[in-house]
Amino acid sequence: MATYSRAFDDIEAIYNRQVSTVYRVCYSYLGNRADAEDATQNVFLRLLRSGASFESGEHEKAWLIRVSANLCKDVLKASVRKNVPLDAIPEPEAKPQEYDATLDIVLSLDEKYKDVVYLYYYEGWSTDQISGALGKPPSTIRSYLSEARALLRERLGGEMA
Amino acid sequence: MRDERIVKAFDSIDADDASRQRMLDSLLAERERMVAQGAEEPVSPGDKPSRGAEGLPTISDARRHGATPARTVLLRIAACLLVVAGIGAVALPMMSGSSSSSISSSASSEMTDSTKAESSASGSEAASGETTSTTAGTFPGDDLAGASLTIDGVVYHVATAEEAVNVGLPMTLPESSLAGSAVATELNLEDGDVVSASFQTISGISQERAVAVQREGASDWALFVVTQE
Repeated sequence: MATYSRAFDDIEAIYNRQVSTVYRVCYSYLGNRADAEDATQNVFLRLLRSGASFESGEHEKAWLIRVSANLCKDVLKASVRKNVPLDAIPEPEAKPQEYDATLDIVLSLDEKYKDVVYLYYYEGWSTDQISGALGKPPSTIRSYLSEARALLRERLGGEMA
Repeated sequence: MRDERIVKAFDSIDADDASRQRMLDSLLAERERMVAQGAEEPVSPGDKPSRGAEGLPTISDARRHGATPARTVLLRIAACLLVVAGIGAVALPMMSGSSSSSISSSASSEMTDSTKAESSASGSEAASGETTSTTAGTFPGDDLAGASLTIDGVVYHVATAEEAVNVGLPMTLPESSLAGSAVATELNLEDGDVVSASFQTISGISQERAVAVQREGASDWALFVVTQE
């Protein structure tokens, strides 16, 4: 099977294909544009240095999502360990023009649900695909989805698929 | 299964054009820098991607691609050590007993990868006549190829043999070289896996430069150095 994409050669094309996905995953963890941009850049730098190659667009996206999630978790842990004083916390940034309160609710979910919710409800992936991408058992993914669905139903109202 | 509300929510966040261009420029500059430094492309043209059960690159890929340069560097350092050990044995005839056994162990032609790593980094100590305890650990790169972690916003990666020599420490650190207490953390492996680990500062070495990292279940402390972005 021909290799779909080699990171070193095709970094610009991969970047153009996946930057929105990586940025959204990073934003969903970090909650602000500046940190999401830093994390996005670091994800692609890691890809460049990794020598990874991909068989398909899905494979490429799964790798990037997984690395994005891990990197953002590291950033969050580091910021907790730094014990940042309250007066150093920046003012909340302006909401996007097309702001939707649903985003705040999704961002308020526990870390462990965020990538699962993104992949299931935004990317439309199956639980098996998510399991493969995140390296967690399908039963764990289904359990996370069930818990996240209950939280979203409670906070958003209406029905969740 | 897509949910319209969540799709709309996520669609509302995206990097603006200026940010996208800034990130891309930085990425391309880094690639140029790698090319200018003569960095070998990480994947050879005929390579097929190795996919794990989850369809992601496996750690074995990183080991395979990283193995050749690391081994070459180790062999070169081992050769230098032989010369240094020989000079030391001649120039310091008073040195005998424990130190000479240390030197002869450095010079052994049947060194395994792990002892190569150990003796290469501790060679200066052996040559200066100090008795060096040899840790019977595994070569850290076997388990941690491409591994990285972030401490207080600073990114560290597992040290190469050359970086270990630059810091003046072995790649596998004896417990006697550690300072402070172990702090739990998580280690990012090359394939995106995250594993539990502990890190500890090293006596006489600033945390801004390097730390010792022990993967959960492992007995060795591996040297990690700051990644220069």
